[in-house]
Amino acid sequence: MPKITKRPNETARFNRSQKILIFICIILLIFGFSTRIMGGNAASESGYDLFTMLRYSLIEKPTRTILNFSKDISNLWNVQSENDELRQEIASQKMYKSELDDTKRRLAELEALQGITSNDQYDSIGATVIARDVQGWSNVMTINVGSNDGITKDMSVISSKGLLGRVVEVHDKTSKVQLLTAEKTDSQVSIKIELSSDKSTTGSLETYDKTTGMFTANIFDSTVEIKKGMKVVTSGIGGATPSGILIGEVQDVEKLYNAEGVKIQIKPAVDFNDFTYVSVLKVK
Amino acid sequence: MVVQYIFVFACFLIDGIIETCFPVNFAMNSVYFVSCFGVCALILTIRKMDFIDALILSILSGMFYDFFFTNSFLVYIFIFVLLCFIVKAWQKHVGESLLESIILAICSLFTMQLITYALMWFSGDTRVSFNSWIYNRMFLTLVVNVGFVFILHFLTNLRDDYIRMRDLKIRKDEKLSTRLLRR
Repeated sequence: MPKITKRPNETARFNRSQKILIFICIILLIFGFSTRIMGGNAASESGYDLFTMLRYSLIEKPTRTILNFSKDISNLWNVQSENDELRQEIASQKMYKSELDDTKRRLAELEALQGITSNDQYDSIGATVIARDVQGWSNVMTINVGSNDGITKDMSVISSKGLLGRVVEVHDKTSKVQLLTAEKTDSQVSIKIELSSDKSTTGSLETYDKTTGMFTANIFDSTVEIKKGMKVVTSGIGGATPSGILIGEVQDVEKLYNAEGVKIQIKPAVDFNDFTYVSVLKVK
Repeated sequence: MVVQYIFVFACFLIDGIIETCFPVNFAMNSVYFVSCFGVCALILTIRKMDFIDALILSILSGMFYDFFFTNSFLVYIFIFVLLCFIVKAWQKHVGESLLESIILAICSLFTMQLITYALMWFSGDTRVSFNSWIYNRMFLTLVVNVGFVFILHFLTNLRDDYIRMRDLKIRKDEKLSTRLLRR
């Protein structure tokens, strides 16, 4: 009778390193599920803040520091002429400020007389862009101010040139901003076109066409004459966005013959390629 | 294996640096490129690894990319695991020369970007036409990342040489200690 011998132990399917890595994968998957599915809680917010700040401090800030340093050195030759221009502008700022203060005072008096309130008064909170979607699909960026700095959802965000977008998600120290170029958006911005110094017409911003690089807007009044080059600003209707924030200028006008209104193409004032410093507007 | 993992993650960090220097055009109305230095490193690394190690590396890389760069979840885990299966399927037919590495990288990158575009299209997040996507995004992305493959081919050969030299040294030390034991 043949002797039955025990089979030697078969080689394990996974070695020690693989088992450790599989364990790490499972832990990270559980972490991901807990922060995503139960979204909106403190763990989710702190997780998002942690990764964003880690990426900003490890990668973006050092890289930007080096880039800015080299840019500053190359701009040294132009500093003298820039300083002279800036000194002239600062000298005229005092005059502009006193004119603005006088205009605001008269506006407040008129509003008080008529019993109306305007929503073009706002506080501005400065912020820096610390993260953007690498692949560029979501049109969402992260700024370094959050609920601790007084940021709330739906606040408008502007750059030095005009309206950028609105706050869609707020964490303790960071916030997510959805840009106006997002194709999928829940809200439309109400706009105003200044036809003359005392006349304007209102409409709504519809979509952003990535092919042409223009906004499409509908103007409700088909009787007004809109020309190319007219400035398009926010109207302030709805209260979320202050009035008077520049969006762009009219590039093309199309009259809708079978419907009420006019369709216009607006060239954005903001360059969506590159911006670092933004302001969040808090309507008073 | 640790060296390969560290190499791939370092390449993903380099992606972040490149993205800071050349930010993505949000308006998508001009030609721009998306840096995929880390993805190319992943592809060139997993083709030399056995299946389990390659799968684990793909899952970890996908999670890292999701959490660190795009703030999504399971999207790039799924895409990188799919890339792993594709690379493993082609592994037998593709050698390790520079030209074959470039072809493998181009095909994998195109697949990855196409899957991302399809996901964005069907979820309604974008209405960019296919022609615009090819012209504005894919063309320059593939051209620039081919340049990265040149660099990565050289770096992966350096890495493999280092691993081979280290393994030789370990075996040499083991031989010496065996001789000492016999005495």
